[in-house]
Amino acid sequence: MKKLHDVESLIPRHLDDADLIALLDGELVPPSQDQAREHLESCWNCRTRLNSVQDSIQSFLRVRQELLPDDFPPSGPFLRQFRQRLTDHRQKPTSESWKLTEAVWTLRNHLLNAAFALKRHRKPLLALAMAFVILVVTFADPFNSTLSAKTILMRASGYELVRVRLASDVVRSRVRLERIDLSTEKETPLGEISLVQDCRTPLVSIAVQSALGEVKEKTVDALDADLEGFHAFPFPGVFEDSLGKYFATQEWFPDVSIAGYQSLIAGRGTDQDFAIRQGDLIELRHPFAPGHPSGITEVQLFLDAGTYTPQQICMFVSDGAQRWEYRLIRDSLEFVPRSAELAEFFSRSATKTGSLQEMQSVHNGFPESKSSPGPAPLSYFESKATDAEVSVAVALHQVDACLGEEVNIFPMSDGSILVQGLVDWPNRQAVIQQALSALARPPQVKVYTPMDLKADAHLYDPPDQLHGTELAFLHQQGPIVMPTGLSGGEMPLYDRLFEYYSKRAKASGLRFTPEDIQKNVASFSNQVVTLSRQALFHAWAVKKLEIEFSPDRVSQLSTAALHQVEMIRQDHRRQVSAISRRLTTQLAEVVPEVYGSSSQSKVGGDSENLFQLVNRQYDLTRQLFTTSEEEPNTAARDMSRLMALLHQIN
Amino acid sequence: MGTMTEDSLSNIAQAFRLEEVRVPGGKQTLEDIVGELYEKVRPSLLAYVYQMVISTSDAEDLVQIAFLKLFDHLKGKTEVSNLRSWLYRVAHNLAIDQIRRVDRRSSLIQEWFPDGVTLVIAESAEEQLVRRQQIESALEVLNDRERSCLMLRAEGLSYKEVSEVLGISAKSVSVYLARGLKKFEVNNEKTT
Repeated sequence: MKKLHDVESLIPRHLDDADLIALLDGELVPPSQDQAREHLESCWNCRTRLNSVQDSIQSFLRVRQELLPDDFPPSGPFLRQFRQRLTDHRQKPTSESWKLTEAVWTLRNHLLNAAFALKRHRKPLLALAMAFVILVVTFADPFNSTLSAKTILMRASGYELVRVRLASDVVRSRVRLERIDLSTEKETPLGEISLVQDCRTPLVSIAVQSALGEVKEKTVDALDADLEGFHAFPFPGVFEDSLGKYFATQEWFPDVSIAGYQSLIAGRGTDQDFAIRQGDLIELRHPFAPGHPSGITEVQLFLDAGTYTPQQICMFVSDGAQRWEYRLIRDSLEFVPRSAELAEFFSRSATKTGSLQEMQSVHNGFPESKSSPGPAPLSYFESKATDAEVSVAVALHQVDACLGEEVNIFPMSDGSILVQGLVDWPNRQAVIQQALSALARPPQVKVYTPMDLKADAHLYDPPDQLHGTELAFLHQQGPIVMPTGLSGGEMPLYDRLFEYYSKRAKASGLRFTPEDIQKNVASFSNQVVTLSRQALFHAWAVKKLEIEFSPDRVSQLSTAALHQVEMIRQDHRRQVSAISRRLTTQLAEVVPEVYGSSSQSKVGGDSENLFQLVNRQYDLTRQLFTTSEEEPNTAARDMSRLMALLHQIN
Repeated sequence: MGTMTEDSLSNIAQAFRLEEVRVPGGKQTLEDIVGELYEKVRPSLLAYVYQMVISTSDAEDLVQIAFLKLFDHLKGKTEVSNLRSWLYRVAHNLAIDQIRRVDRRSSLIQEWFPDGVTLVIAESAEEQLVRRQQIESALEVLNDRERSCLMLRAEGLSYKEVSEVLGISAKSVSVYLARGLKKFEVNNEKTT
């Protein structure tokens, strides 16, 4: 609280915001409180300010309320649940004795191993009961002790036993093996390993595809101690002899698992270890004794910090002169129900090796399955558009599947329609499938996410034959400019934007830190680039549409269908104009002097022309608003070119 | 579990600004008292924790854990002053631990993607989620301290209580409130 009446009460000091809020909150102590009240009575300025502070409080409360979900606080038997939890809690020993020692964890893992063995001996109920008890113990652990690499590894091993080895479903995992030369950083893919572990028998089917595409499969009994030659099986000749010998001694198989990792480090000849937490990953480092006969200097394991799931194993090897790294990356881990097909596969694998085809289906299309005979996709140039095709296009347009996603409508040789494509997220997959299944004549839909694509999908060439360099923008990651990645000069307009936001901050009368301003700059740049990218998506969609429903193709369409096509086209064009208007307004605010310096030529109806223009504006926007090589002094020229382009597009 | 004395009951009631902490039926165990406190204080504490973790189930769980800790705290203790700020502080720290645990990467990406991107990647069925993200962007100008101060004050905590929850001085609370409110106001004008 400032002293309100200075030397002369003739020049009273105004109340600052903190005083006003404290007064409203009843937090001013009596002498200051009275002085503040007195001042308010005489000062219009402060009284007005007081009202606006009150308004801000109100709108803050409103936003806070809107932030909460609709039915907040959720109703339900929470009190009963809490009382139950409280009763359980009261009966538990105090939290100090909860802390499990490493010995307890070891014991627990032994128990789990016993449960695992029991399960294999067809006493699943008992195993399940044990696993349950162990799980309860696991999750009761308060997780608040500082963890050593040993403890983390032991816990992870416990989780793995429960989740993977005692799983009640068939577990399918896939691992990629790479070799990295540490002097040149050159990465060489060595192959992929797919493991399918049965949940009823100790059988594991292993399929390996070398970098040359050679495929091998083998089903082994995990309990069988006699695995002679098994560990060398995956990649003969890939690992150095000394390394191969070490793997064989340790019975290590190239897989990303905790059990495997433990055997890998068991013979390293030292006890040193480190655990490092990096965001949501835990990194464990296990150096090997100097001059270890295997040539390994260190192995590292990366775990998900939340679930303790192993993600990657790195193995650093040196022969004295050179250093290289083997990297095993777990690409997928999935649990699938034990289907009749899988059951049959495992029951026959016990006696003989299954056919290659059978193996492919068990390993979920690993390696890539050959395309099956059936109707073939036609290009737009060798087929006529149908009304059904238009209705599919409309449905896709309604869920924005024409914007930057590689989703194509294929007329098929048997007259049917196939919608095939690649989307980024499973939820997009669902949206598209849902939209299309609602049609009167739903087409066949094969929309994949990159994850499925690795497994068994085969993408046809686009029917519009537009693939090639122009499509490159579809694969670029969305622009994300992080404030930490911004330092003066890296982004051509950085200084300009920083100055603008500093001025604004000053005008607001608040103390913004440079980080706040950087955050604003990053946010603005992201928005501009994203808008610009969207314009490009719409222009691309127009171009695609004109090939899909070109004059040559539409002869068999009904008037209604033609009208629908036209509606989609207009929709995209409207979006392009709207976005360029929005961009113009936003940019004009920051860089006002180039506004209005544009030419006024109008864009014709040619979609190619439109696409080229929008493409150019996108290039310019990216150059100006993301970190690029461009010199700040050419930025001004590019900025006016960009404004001119936006005008033209608009 | 022994019953609580009249004195400590009225202290608890005072700390939580409740008329009384009393279980019908006369005999009151600590479990009953904490159960009753949970029922009465849950909505407000839940709202505070929710705005930190943005997940109702996580918030519910953390609030329950905070009350379990309150139970331990009250057990065998006669000193029951500053209970409310104690409870909020425990919940606040639990929420911070939780935030560190969950995947920060995805939320960072969302934070830095401006609203336009949702048109491309989010389906229209998730409009509500988008709306919430937009509202949240109304608060993104606030730093953690300002946001916590405003949220705690909005739950009715006094400056002293807020200062105890966050481990800062009451004077700083006043400054954070003013600064936060001002930033919020400027940002709000900009967006509307």
